[in-house]
Amino acid sequence: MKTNLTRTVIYLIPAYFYAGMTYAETDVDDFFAMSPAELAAMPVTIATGTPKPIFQSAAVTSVITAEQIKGMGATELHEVLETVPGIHVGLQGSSYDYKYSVRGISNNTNSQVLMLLNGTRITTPFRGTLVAGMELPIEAIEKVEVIRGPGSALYGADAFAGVINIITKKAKDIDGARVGVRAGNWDTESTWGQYGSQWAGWDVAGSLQYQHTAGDKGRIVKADAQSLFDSVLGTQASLAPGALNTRYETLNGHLNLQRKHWDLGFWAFNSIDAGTRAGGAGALDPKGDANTEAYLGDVRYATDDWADNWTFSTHASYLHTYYQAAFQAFPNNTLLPIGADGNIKSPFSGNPLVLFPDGANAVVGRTENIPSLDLNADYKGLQNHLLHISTGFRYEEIVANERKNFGTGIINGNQGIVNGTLTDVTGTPFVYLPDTHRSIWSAVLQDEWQFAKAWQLTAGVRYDNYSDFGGTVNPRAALVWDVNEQITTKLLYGRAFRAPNFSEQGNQNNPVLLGNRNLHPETINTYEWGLDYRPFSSLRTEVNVYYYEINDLILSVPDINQSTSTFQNAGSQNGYGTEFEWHWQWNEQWDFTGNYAWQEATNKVTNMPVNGVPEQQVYTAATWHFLPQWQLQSQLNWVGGIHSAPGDNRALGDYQTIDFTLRSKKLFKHLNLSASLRNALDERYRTPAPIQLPENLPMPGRSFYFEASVDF
Amino acid sequence: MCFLERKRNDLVHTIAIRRLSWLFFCLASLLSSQPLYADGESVEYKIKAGYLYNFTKFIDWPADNYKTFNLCILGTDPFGSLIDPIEEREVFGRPIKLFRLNNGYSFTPNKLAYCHIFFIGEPSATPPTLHNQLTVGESPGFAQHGGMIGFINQDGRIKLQINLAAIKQSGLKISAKLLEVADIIDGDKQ
Repeated sequence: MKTNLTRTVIYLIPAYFYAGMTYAETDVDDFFAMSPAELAAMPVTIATGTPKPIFQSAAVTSVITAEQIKGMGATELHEVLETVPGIHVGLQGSSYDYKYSVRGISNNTNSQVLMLLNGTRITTPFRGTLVAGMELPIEAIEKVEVIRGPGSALYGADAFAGVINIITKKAKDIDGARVGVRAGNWDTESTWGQYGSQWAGWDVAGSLQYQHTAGDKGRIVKADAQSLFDSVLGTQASLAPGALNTRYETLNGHLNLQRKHWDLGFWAFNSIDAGTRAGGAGALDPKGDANTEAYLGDVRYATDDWADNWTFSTHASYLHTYYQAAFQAFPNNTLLPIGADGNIKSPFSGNPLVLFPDGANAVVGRTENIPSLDLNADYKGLQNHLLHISTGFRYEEIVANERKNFGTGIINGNQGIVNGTLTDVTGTPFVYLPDTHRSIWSAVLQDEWQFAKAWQLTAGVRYDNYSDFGGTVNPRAALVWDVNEQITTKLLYGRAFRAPNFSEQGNQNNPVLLGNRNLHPETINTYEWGLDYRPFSSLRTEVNVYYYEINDLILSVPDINQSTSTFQNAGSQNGYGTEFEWHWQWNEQWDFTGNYAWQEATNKVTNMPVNGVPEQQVYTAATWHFLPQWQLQSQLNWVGGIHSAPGDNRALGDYQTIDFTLRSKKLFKHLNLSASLRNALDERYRTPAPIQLPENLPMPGRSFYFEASVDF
Repeated sequence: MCFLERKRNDLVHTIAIRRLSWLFFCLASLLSSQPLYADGESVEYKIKAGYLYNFTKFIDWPADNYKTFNLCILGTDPFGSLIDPIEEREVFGRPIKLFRLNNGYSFTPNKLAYCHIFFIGEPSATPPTLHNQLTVGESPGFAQHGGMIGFINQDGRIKLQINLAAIKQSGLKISAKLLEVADIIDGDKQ
C-alpha cells in the first residue's frame, strides 16, 4: 500500500501560523531547518513565492524564530513579544506576571490572549492565564507564532485579542547536543543542555534549563498599600520605600519523541521560591515566596493510510498545574480595620482596629487539572477544497487551599490583637474559591477553497458548549488575493469569545472582589484588511487596518452600599488601528526590521480612551553582520500614549528602551558567544499598577549578560 | 523624588546618548543597495534544497574516510547560488561540500567521483545504483527508472518518490521520517 502521509494535524496547527511568515523565512536556511513533512506541506504554486501552507494568510500573524530571538538578545518570553507589532507587555494585577495587550485590548489577568505550547492550551481556568509565577525561559523555543486578532473559530475560548503559540525545538532543530551558560548582573545565571538524536526508530529531543535571578533591586516603590493605612491610622508598618521582589529560580524541561504517525511531548516547569513582586495585597513583602509547577503530556497520532483523500488525527493532552504561595498581605505590626466578616476594610470605614504583630499572613494554593481530547479529519477529495472537521472535549478543574490569620471564618474584628497562627479554611465555605469543574465540548468545520487561480477563501465555524454557561458559535472568513508577484491582499472577519474564568465566577470571602455565576462570555467581532507588498526581493512590507467591537466585557462593578465589587458583563469597547512592518535585507552585512503600531481603543461605557494600553509603538532593529560569524544587533522600542484612568495622577510616561547584542556563531566550529546590554540608557519607565497601589510600578533598568554555548 | 533628580543631573549626558542612538538608526536606514534574496519563483528549489539537506540527516551514511560530505550536482544546475549556504552546514561533524559536475560527466565506473549525494539534473540520464551513494533526480519517472529518490510536483507541493529496492541495493538506510512523506515506488532495480 502506498504510504502518502502528506499532512498531519501536527503540521496543521502550526501551518495556520505560517501565513504571516516574514520574508526572512523564505531564506534558504529556513528551508534547511524544516522537516521532511514541513517541506512536503509547502506549496510552490503561489506566484508570490511566499510560503503559505494550509490555512494561508487566514490571519494577521508574526513568527519569531530562535535565530531572531538570539539576535535580539532576549532571555525571557516577554522580551520577544514586545517586538511584535501591536503587542505591548505590562504587568498583571495581583500576580504581577507579564501580560500582553494586543491592539488596545487588555485586562488584569491576560485572559484575552490564548497561550499555546506546541499547539496545546497552557492557560488555565483559574484566571484564564498561565499559572501564576510562570517566567518561561527561552532556550528551548524554536519559534514563537503570534496571531494578532481573533482565533476562536479554530482554537475556541480566549483566542480573543490574540494567540501566542510557543513551538519548542525538536530533534531536527537540535541535531546533536548543546550546552550553554549565561551570567549577568542582578545575580542572574542560567545554564542549559539540549540533545536531539534518533533512538530506536524515534526522533528524540530533550532539553533542560535552569535559571535564577535576584531581580533588579533598583525597582523601588516609595509607597505601597500599607503606606495608606499608615498615613490614616498613624502606624509605621510599611516596608516602603523598598524594592519589588522579583527574584525567581526556575527549571524548565521538554521531551519530544516523533516517529511515523506519532508525536509525543512532555513538558515540566518548576519555579522555586519566587518573590511576590509588589506583594500579594500590594504591600511590599520581601519574605513572601511562591512555588509553581506545571506538567503537560501530549500524544498525537495522525494517519492518511486509512482512506484515500482523508487524514485522520487525534490529540490527547493532560495539563496539571500547582501553585502555592506563602506571603504577608500586610507587614508585621500592621493595624487593620476588620469587618464583622473578618475581612480587611478601608482605613476610613470605622471598623474595629486589629493589631497584627506578625503581619496579616496567608498561605494560598491551588491545583488545576485539564485533560483534553481532539479528533480531527481532513478531506482533500474535492478539487480546490480542503475540508477540516474536528470535535473536541476538555475538562477543567480546580482545587483550592488556603490558610490565613485573617478573613472570613477566622476572625471577626473583636480580637484586638491577632498573632501569626494560621487557620486552615481549605475545604470549608471560607476558602477563596470553591472547588470547581466544568466540561467543554466543541466542533469545528472549515473549508479552504481555492476558487480561482490567485484567490482563496477560508471559511470556518466553531461551536463550543460549556457545562457552566452554555453554547457559543464563532465563525470566521478570510479572502486572500495574490494580486501579482509583489502584492498579496486579504480581507478577514472573525468572531471570538472569552469564557468567564473560575475566579470571575466563584471568588468568595474576598474583601473587594466577588464572583458571579451568571456571567456569560465576552465577545469580539473583528474586521481586518491586510496588504503584503514586496517591491523588490530584499524588502518586504506589510500593513493592516482593523476595526473591532467588544461586547459583554467582564468588569468588576461596585456593589451598592457595599465595600465590594462583583464581576458583571458590563463593559463594551471598540477600537481601530493600523500596523506597519518592514523587513529589509540591505546587503550581506546589514538588515533592518521594524514596525509601527497605532491604535485608538474606546471604552464605550465612558466614551474615553481605554486605560493602560499604548496608542503608539515603534520597534526598529538593525543588524550588522560584520564578520562571517559575527553580528551586532541594536534595537529600539518606543511606547507612547498610555492613558491613566480619570483622576489617576500616578506618574506614567512615554518611554524608549535600547538594547545591543553582540553575537558569534560556530567559532572553531563549536563555540557560540553572546553579550547583551539591555535597556542601555537605563530608562526608568513605569507600567500601570492596580489602583490600590500608590504608585505605578517601576520596570527593570539597565542589565547585561554574557553567554557561551558549545555544540557537539 | 530621587528618580527625578537623578534624571535632571544626567539630562545633558542622556540626551547626547539618545541622539547618538537615533543617529545610528537613521544613518542605517538612509543607505540602500542590492537585494540579497533569490527571486520568488525559486521557492521550488529552496524546498528541494531543504530536502537535500534533510537527506544528509535522515539517511544512515556508512562510515567513510572523506573529510567532507560531498553533494554533487550533475549536469544542468537548477539551483544556482541559492543552495550555496548548504556549505555552511555540517553532517555529523563534516562540512558539506558542493560539487558541480559538467554536463559531460559520465558514470564510468573507474572515474567515479565520490559523492555522498548525486543530484542528477539531466532528464535523460539513467542513474546506476552506486554503493553507499544516493541518487536524487527531478525528471519524470526518475525513481521508477532506477533512481533512488525522485522529486515530483503533486498538487503544487514537492513530494518524494522513493525506490526502496534501489536504496536497499546501495546499502543505505532511510529514516521513517522521509518515508512518511514519500510514495514508495516499485522501480527497476538496475
